[in-house]
Amino acid sequence: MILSRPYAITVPSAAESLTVLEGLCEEFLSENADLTEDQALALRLAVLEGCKNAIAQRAAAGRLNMVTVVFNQMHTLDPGEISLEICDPGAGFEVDGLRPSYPESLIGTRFRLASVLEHELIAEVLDRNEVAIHEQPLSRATSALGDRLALIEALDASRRGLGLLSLCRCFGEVRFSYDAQEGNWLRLSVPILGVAAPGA
Amino acid sequence: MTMTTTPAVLALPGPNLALAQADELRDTINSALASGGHRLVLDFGQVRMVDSAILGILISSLRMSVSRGGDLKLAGLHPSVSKILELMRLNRVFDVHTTVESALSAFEP
Repeated sequence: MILSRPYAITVPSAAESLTVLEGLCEEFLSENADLTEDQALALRLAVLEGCKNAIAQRAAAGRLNMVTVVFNQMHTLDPGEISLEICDPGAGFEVDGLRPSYPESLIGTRFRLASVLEHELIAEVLDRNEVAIHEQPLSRATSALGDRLALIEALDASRRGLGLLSLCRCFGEVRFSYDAQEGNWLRLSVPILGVAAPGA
Repeated sequence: MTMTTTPAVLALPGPNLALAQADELRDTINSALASGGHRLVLDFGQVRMVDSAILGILISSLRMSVSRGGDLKLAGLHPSVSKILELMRLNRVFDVHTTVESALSAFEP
């Protein structure tokens, strides 16, 4: 299964563009009907969350306020993989109060971004321009939230991390790569389980 | 969005509920909670997707209603919206019903 044509679009960084971006996602899904419902849901959610975030970014000086969305479908070995990339004109993902290019001293370090009930979001600086975010269980046990209102209040206090958490749960990992010329790339990938690679 | 009798029922617009509708939705839910004595059923019959901005509003609204002795129940969820709630483990806190009628009857008189 080879991508018949590029699924990429660059649109103004405005809320009105979301409809166009959602339309591209639906077009991609309609031509890739062998994706599971979960994979399709993950891509729809990623477009909503990723593009919303991208549109909210302010353009850095000298860069146009545009958002680019690219769906890639590729077969490496096995399994195949779909990736979604969203580029915004922002200044990159902030880690510990710093934006890329991160100092050398941060490479390999991990930071807690947010906690949502029993889980936390961890950012790991991979290199001077790339950070990976994933979810992990809290290292220490939290107090039992048996009371419904206490559970709701704890959730309400951690709303800020919901968007990233949803992407981590769909894709396992979220990556942000910064490019001084292009801007900030959000990269997500999902394996296409059960789809044979070419020649397999 | 349309509201009916107490406990209030609010039919949400679809198919996608996301950041662009967040402010209006927050205001409408707050009004509905006030009119329904903090007892509200949200009818998701037309909704196919929600994002984290909307989930955040639902959580805040739920906190407001439960802390005042009421509740916010969800009804008519499309499978994709149910999946998102499960993914975010929000099915632990929201009372979800197949139909609006079922949700209404779950409120104590």
